[in-house]
Amino acid sequence: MTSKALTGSGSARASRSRRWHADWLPAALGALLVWVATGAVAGQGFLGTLQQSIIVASFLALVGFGEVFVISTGSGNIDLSVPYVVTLSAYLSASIMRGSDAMLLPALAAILVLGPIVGLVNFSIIRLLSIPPLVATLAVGFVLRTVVELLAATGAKAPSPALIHFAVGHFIGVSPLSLLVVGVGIVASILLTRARYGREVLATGQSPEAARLAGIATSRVVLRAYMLSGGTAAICGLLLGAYSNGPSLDMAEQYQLGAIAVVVLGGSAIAGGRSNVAGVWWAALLLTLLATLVSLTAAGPGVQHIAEGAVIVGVLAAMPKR
Amino acid sequence: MSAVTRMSLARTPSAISVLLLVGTFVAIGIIQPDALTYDGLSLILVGAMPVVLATMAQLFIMAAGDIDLGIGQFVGLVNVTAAASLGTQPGIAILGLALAAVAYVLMGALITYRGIPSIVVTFGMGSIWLGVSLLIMPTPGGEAPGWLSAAANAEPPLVPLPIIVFAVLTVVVYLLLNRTRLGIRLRAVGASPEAATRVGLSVIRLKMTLYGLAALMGLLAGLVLTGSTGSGDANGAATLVLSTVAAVIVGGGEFRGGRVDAVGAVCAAVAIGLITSIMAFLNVSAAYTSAVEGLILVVALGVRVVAFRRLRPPSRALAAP
Repeated sequence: MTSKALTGSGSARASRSRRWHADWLPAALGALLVWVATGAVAGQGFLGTLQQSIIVASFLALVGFGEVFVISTGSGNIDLSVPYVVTLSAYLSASIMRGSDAMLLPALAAILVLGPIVGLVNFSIIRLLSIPPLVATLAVGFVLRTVVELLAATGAKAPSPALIHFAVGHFIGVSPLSLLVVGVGIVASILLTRARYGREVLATGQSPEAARLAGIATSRVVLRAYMLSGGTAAICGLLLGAYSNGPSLDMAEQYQLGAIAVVVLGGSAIAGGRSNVAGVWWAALLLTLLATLVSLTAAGPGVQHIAEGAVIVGVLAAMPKR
Repeated sequence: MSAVTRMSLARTPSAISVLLLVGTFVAIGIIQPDALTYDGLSLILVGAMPVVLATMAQLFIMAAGDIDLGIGQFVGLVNVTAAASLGTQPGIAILGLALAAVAYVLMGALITYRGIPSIVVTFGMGSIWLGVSLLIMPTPGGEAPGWLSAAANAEPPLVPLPIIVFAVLTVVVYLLLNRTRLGIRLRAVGASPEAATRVGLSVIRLKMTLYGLAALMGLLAGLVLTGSTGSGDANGAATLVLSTVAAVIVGGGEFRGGRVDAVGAVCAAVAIGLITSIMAFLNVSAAYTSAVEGLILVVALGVRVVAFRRLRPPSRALAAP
């Protein structure tokens, strides 16, 4: 009886962990399908379409890598301030650089301080005032929006030429920017699945009570997740600002829904505790290819919004019931 | 704050939002006393009507234990449909609006039946509502039918129209949720779906009812918006969502357990809607508007929590909706 129970639970765990690793598959298959469809109609062929889409998807994947940590901590944790941090970072870095390579490092340092500080503010409001994360991070985003508008009205802003070269350039047919983002993804994946911090994030997401009783400082775990999310959003802003040759007010609009969509479509649970970083990258590619496909058919923004929404709702509805 | 005050605050979760509303009116009275006349009140409150109606939609969804992040886009869809064709082809417009409401109910059924997170589904559906709106009306325009503008700007004797609307809405929603058999069942579903199933209630049917009520409120919000602005804009109501969620919570509702308070939510929504008017009186630059809105939400929610802290155990698990 005992041995039977043990084998039973053992095999259940094995099958659960198999599912865990395959959680990114639907997003990857979806991306491949849309790639084939897009490549068929795109003027630049299959490879050219893929190259271009991987670069554009990198920005979305980058914010997704941070968001996945926040969502994984469960308890309704979510970061809706992402698009505002991206825009603020783009403006702040461009106004520090003013088109000079010498100011690239100071700009980088500034945004690497900015992102985690926003994460700290998000967490403080959520924890000290017990405000639901959804409302708290959106409210913080609204405040950042005003900062962006005030900043936009001042002085000259331009990314440094070296950074632009890095963001738009190719090195033997490969974009260094997309390699960097894949690298960040690998680090995030190892952090989440192999490192102590990642285990603490997942434990907190599965059951905050149990995690606390097991001696995990859950507050610190959640705080770091928000700081990570702020950090990736800030780096995204620096790179996106350079890629688009300067910031604009609505440059990050699509990351509001996008950052959360890539996490969920990538096979992570919105309630936390189960995460898949590879899925984030694939889902970002899927959404980007989809946007490319729709824009190629010249159907206009209306159809694009409908297609994005339909994919998100459709994939969620088709996911196996847990 | 004395223990007695705290006790009474905890018993009436709407107290904070009532105080917020009174405070807002006092501030307006000091800044611009003319605003507290019949004409002044009509003028500053007419803009708050869509927010209040959309807040009632959010209240029904949160009573179901879910959250709706697409309500702004839904109101936008109603707005452009009404502005584009309610005057010229009323049959088609009414059919379209009815279909949108049915889609809303089906969305509720899908969320409940498949057990998928409402927060992402409604976000995705918001994208679909916006897409359809942009197909109907790519750029802001259109015209509200005359009867709709006349209705939204009607001038009943003695009491301005918005105040009548708010009062009737509060009473109807309060009585429905707290004084009828259906209301008790609807709240039971949000509070504990398992318990509701055990006593033989159909969770899916009750949740569809709540989504249907939300769709109805969304329709009214869109029509009133069309009547008061006179035209359509697909993106015009997109920012409503934060106000609606915040108003339900400031008004004494909670993410978990389907706990909502109609009186509190209406007061909070009116106050939030009015704050925009105050900023207009004070000639605050448009750039500051979003910061002020964000800060006010944080302060209002913070006050509520500090006032309740001693009485309720702090809810650490702030509900994945």
